[in-house]
Amino acid sequence: MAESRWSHAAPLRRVLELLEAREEGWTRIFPTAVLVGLLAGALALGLHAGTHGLQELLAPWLEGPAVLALPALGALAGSWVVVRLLKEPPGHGVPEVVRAVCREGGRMHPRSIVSRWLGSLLHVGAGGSAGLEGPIVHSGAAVGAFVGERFHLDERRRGVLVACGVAAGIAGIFNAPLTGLAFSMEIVLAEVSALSLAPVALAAAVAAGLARAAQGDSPAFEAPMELSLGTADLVLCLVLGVACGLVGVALTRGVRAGHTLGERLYLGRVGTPAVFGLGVGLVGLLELRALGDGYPLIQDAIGDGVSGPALALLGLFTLKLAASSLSLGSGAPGGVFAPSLVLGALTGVLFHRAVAPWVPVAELAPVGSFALAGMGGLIAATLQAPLTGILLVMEVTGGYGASLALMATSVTALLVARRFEPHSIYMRVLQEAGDLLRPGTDQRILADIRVRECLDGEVVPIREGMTLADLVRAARRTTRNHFPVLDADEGLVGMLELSSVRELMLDPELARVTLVGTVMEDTVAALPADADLASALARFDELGAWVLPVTEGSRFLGLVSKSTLFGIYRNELRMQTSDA
Amino acid sequence: MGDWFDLAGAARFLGTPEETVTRWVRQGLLPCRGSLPQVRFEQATLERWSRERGLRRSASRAADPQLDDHDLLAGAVARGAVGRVRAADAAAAIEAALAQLPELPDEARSDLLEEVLGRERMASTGLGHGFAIPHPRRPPGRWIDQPAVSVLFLEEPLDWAALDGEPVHTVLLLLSPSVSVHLELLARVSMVLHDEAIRALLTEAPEAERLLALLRDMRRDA
Repeated sequence: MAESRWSHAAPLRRVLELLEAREEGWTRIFPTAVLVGLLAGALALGLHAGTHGLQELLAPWLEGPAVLALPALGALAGSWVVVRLLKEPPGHGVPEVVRAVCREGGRMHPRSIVSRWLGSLLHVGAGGSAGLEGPIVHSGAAVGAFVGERFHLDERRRGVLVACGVAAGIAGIFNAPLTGLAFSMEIVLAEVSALSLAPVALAAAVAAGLARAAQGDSPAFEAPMELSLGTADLVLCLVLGVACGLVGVALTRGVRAGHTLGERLYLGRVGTPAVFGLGVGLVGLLELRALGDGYPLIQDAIGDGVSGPALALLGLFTLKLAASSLSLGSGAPGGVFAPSLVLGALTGVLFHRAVAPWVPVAELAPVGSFALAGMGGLIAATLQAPLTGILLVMEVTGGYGASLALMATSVTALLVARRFEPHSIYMRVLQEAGDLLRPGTDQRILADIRVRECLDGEVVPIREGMTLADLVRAARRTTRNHFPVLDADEGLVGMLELSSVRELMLDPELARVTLVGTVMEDTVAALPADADLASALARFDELGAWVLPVTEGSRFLGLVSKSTLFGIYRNELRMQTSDA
Repeated sequence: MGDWFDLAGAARFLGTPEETVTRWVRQGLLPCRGSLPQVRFEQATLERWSRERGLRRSASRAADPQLDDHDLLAGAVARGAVGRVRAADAAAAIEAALAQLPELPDEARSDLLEEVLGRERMASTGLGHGFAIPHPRRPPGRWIDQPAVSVLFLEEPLDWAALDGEPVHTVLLLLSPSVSVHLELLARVSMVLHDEAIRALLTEAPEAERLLALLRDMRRDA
């Protein structure tokens, strides 16, 4: 009996061993992904509940003249928490997540779990015209980083857990797992492979499951019917896509303008949100619906459109755009996702109003459908994440019948937006800082390798006081053509290229009478040992050199030749793009 | 309207072989008009394209125009001086060689004297066969922008701690603006001093015109 049991266990154990050995740590990722899904999902639910709770609490004040001051107070409180209390940089946090994955090996500070969570609760709860999605992404990412750290995962797997946290956050907030997966993939995940997608999908599913358990089956927005955009509406959707693209560009530029204005006014990182908050309050006086994350407005738009004359609607649209630019541009904690959804829904509604007189009623889809398509379009335009937009609308409506029309809108919006803004609102910040480095790309490899890793081995240093005759003897010890000239403290004073003095060396009399110090190159550009390969290669190009000396402070370390760099680069490329 | 390149012109402009440009066109990587091989490229577009991609055309080191001079040594002597002197020792001879140079400001003269004497102290510039080539430790680009040689014939040969132990009868003080010019000058000096006929003439302490004529007749790598 005992014998047969062991004989079953042995092959199983063997299989597990093989799996572990082959995948080296991938098996630990699945339980941790579930953990991250639960935690980030819970955080998403908590933030949603907390913010809307605060909004309801403040509702009576918001409807009165106090609306002028409330968004400012909320922005002040929120920014203060993020910037002063928890000492983090302002903003919605998504670029920081991407940077953590690209540049910092998936490391985030644990306080990031709470910083923007609390900050955006205060800011958006009091009426700030921003979304909770960006902050939840930041929180979820920090949860992933924290779990990764606790379970001693390496940088690559930590990066995957960060992506898990991001997906779980989005999935939890919208009760939409596929959207969470798509967002994580399109924005944050540095590499897309079967082994990295599976944990992310798992985390998203877990978070959505949690949301479902807490709120029931209903998605974030109630679509009254299945999205009924048929192929007949395809042309209209293409036109809507163009409009969405332009609106997306307007939002991106509006936020950037707000940011620039904030910098020019020198109000400080807490002062700017507070002062801009007054502007938001002013908008609130004119149109209360432009404040907050706008979910009720979206719900209206999807339901039976937003009531009111077209002009008022246009006014609402413009005010929402202005309020979002102020709230987001000021650096107060809050995301651009929800404002994009609101503006997209409004674009759809306005489009429907504009088109309705010209199209027979029977053939025109209801206004709610256009609102939904507009939402997808705006996400595609502003975040340049078309898949996220399409999936969100599909999951929210629980139907896939309108996929063609949705895709038409989203893709058109993306193409139009990219014509004006080559990078999404998230990535531009990173691109400008030179931090957008995906693993396995040329830029990343060049940024990763340091000059000190590329030093040529056999270097024969020479002294200024040596004659060329001495150099001839030294040259026999090496096949190299370049010699560094060092002083008594091993500091670099010059370089001598053998080919430049070859003729002279062949004349024994002159060789004995010419000093190295006289014929060396003394204005030598040395590479710092910690410089990355990208800057080193730029130097080589600038100087037209093939060999350069490397120093650390004033101490000479060695020589780097352009020819060895290629072999080193090739090796690193193989390392970074291997499948394991 | 701007300039248009053909395939060869574009290759030259970008500093890459024609084969590479052809491949880029085929892969759709390079903006162009028409189809291979009659493809055309607009210069402004190519400029923007290569700038956006950070394509660098390898920097070519500008050749020093002074090195092409066939009469480098003759010119240097003409710019310098030819003279004779009775000096007490090597240092005095060097001072005299500097003194006979025309158009040298006093500050330059004293600075150069220090540099040349300093160099001499490090190691003797006595080549052997009675010649010495004193020079500053580093080419004095600060004072000199064209090479100059001061030829000094010593009426009494002096001990110069030369390599072959022989006393020196001819001093060639070398002044160059840069390392590359100094190297070229040394190469010419080497040629001269290896030529038996010229060496013999130099021991006769000839006049400037005769010396210059001889140097001009001498061809590089003859």
